[in-house]
Amino acid sequence: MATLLEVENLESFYGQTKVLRGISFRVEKGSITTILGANGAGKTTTLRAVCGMVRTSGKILLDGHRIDKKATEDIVRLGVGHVPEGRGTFVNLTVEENLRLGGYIRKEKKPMMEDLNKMYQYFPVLGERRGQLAGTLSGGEQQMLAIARALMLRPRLLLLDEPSLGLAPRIVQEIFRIVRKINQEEGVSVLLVEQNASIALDLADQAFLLETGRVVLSGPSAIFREDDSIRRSYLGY
Amino acid sequence: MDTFLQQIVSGLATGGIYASLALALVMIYQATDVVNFAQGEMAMFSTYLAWSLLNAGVPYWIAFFSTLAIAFVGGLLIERTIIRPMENAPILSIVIVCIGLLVIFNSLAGWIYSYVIQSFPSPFPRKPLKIGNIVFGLYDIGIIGITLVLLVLLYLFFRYTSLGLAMRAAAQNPVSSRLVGIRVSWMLALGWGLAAMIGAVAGMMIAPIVFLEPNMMGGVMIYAFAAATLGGFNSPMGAVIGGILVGITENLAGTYIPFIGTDLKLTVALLVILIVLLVKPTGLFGRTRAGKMWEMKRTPQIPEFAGVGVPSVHSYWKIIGLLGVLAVAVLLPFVVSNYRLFQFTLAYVYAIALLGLNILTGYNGQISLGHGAFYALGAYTTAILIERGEMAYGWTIPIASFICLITGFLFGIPALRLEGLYLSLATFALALSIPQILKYFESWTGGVQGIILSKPEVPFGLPLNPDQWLYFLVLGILVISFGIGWNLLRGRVGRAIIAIRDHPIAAETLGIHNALYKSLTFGVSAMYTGTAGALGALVVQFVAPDSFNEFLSISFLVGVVVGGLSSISGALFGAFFIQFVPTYAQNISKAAPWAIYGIFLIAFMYVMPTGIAGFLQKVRGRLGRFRRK
Repeated sequence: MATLLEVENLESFYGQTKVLRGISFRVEKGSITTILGANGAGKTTTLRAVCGMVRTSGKILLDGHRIDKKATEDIVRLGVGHVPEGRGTFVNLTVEENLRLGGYIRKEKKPMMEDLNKMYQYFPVLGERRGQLAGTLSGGEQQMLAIARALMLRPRLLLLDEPSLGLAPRIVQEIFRIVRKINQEEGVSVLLVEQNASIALDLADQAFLLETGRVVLSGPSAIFREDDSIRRSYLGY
Repeated sequence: MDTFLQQIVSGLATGGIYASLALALVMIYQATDVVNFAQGEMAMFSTYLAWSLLNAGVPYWIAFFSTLAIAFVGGLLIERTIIRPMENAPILSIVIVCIGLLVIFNSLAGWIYSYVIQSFPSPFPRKPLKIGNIVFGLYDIGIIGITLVLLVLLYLFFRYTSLGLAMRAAAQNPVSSRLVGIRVSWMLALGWGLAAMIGAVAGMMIAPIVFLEPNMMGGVMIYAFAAATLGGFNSPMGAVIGGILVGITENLAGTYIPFIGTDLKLTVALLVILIVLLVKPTGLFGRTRAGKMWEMKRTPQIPEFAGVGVPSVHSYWKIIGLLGVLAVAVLLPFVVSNYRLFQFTLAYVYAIALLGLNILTGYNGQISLGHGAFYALGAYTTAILIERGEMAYGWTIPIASFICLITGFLFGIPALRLEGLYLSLATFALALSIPQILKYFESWTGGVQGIILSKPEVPFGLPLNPDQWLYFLVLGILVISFGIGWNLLRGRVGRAIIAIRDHPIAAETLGIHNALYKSLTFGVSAMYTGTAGALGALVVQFVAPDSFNEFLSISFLVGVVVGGLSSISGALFGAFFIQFVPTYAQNISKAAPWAIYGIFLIAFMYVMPTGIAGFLQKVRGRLGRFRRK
């Protein structure tokens, strides 16, 4: 399998504090990779670094091209969809406007409108609420909207930051089912950050574990699932 | 009946003007989340450009559209060069930069084109149109028509084009906008360009009526703000309807309410807005936004009390430093001239006023653009008590403070209903109406003439001249009020006040009585500013309505932000800035002193976006880290 995202010796800082201390990993084309780790391990920062939202050093390659010094909007234009922590929907715009913004960078409007309808098929509840302000949606619906918005740009790589945060287990399952479906049907590669390790490992092909800014373990997610000592000492279930 | 209809028609005409400017304001607010106080002056400047073109023999409509193009590019450039570097600065610092732009444009226009009033041609015939007994000006209809066309075009642009949608998105949520690939900074620049263009249209429509001069927008802008507030700052249609309503109200009130006449026209219009805001705090057509809205969230915290309670070498140095400054202050009157001394005394007076405003705006997050009103109240209380009541001046100061405390507290109660931007505009309305009100109650206030006070006598046979005595009096009160302020803010009450600013809901859940604290803060803040007003009257020995106009209130806000929000020492720095920098600007350029002042203002905000106190804090932090290494 070919590599879509390759990260080499990535470091990142918030002011004086070093959050990532030289991590390396790759995401294969068409695969789902999950980043596991405790609070403050640097999971969210890793996603932000890929998107050019934090100051970094080291190499980030998308499909063989360096993207680490690029501006966020340019990285997005290369096909990286980011669903940020806390969703980041445009609360004062309608659901449909949110989705249209998702496809903002696409030149041809017709296939975009087709995608819009496809999103309503993936997430029927969004179709029902298309004229409503996004701020009036429930947490789960907003999460769906955020994912759908990111998909509207036809990403090659989807970055998902804790999609389960604050949601009921049933909704979480629903969202993960759709992520899997999108991954299989559209061939979108996914880089997933998740606190709920069990559900993330079920979904992912590959996984790696961050501890205070370092990768301490990586490999196929089956290894994580099956190794009792890893589970107990790192993942707590 | 005919008079009534005629008044409505005239109201519509003036309303159309207000509407077009209000529309520009709302536009820039929607597209950039900034209320551009320089909007009117930018429009005025564009109109002058059009005038130059017309004078060079360019036909009207070619000049008109070229001006639009120039204004668009100009607005774009201003955003790119002046506003852009402030992107991550606190919102109030951006407001101060806009105020800087305002004075620069005004001053430049005066310098280039002089203050001589010029006539500006109108594209519509001056012919009146008579239907029954009612006279319509064709010209007025033209203005309203153009405003409506603009409104429709804008509506279509923002509603149906993806560029318009992207502009709205960028203003609301820049981070998410980047994540969908929108080039946010360009959207903001476009917003400024567009607003400058609308402003230019408004300017060219207004100029034939009010005539062309650098201050032509002053009076109109106030109504435009009122219109935008009335209609709701996030509704373009609201701006238009608000503008027309303000126009009509102003005309009807002037005609039908006998004691108002033309003297209180402005006050009445503003009163109407206040009432509407109290009933519907986001304006008639405004939606409550779920997201950010001129919150003080971006105000950086200056942890001035970080070391309090821990006796470190640091705090000893601080005390020694304070004593040193005090020693210099005490020696000052014996080394400088009386005029210099007067300036310093006034700076101290401003420092007390600024501390009051800072308690409210910096610590409690309630933005007031109307503290000049409390300053005026304090000043007039003292002046009237001395002149009419023949009271000893010493007693008038506590009385003025007390009256301002009560008034501030009472004003704080309705202010509770208003958030962020709307509060600042409501208080601005207060600031605007003060001169009119003062002129109206002539028997008490002496009307336009004002009241002249005599120099206070030196008590206890102290070996000082009256100027020196005043200096020490003010210095003493300054030290006491800063001491009280410091004590108030560092403890339990201070934490509650700050908690309300940072997260009102969380504060409430901790058992803080938000409403009570907020109105009390308003009262205390007004008390400080009122005390300063009383002292100011004694120092200047003169009170008159026009010294308490809106520029005083704006100056106070400038002082607070330049000095440093949420900082006690910031009040002192800010006071020195607003007292001395204009004088120095005058020394640099006699021709356009305010342009120099504006440049100073913008430069200060660039170098120190968190004010002087914030800047010093940062320097101290750097030094501390350096020492630890």
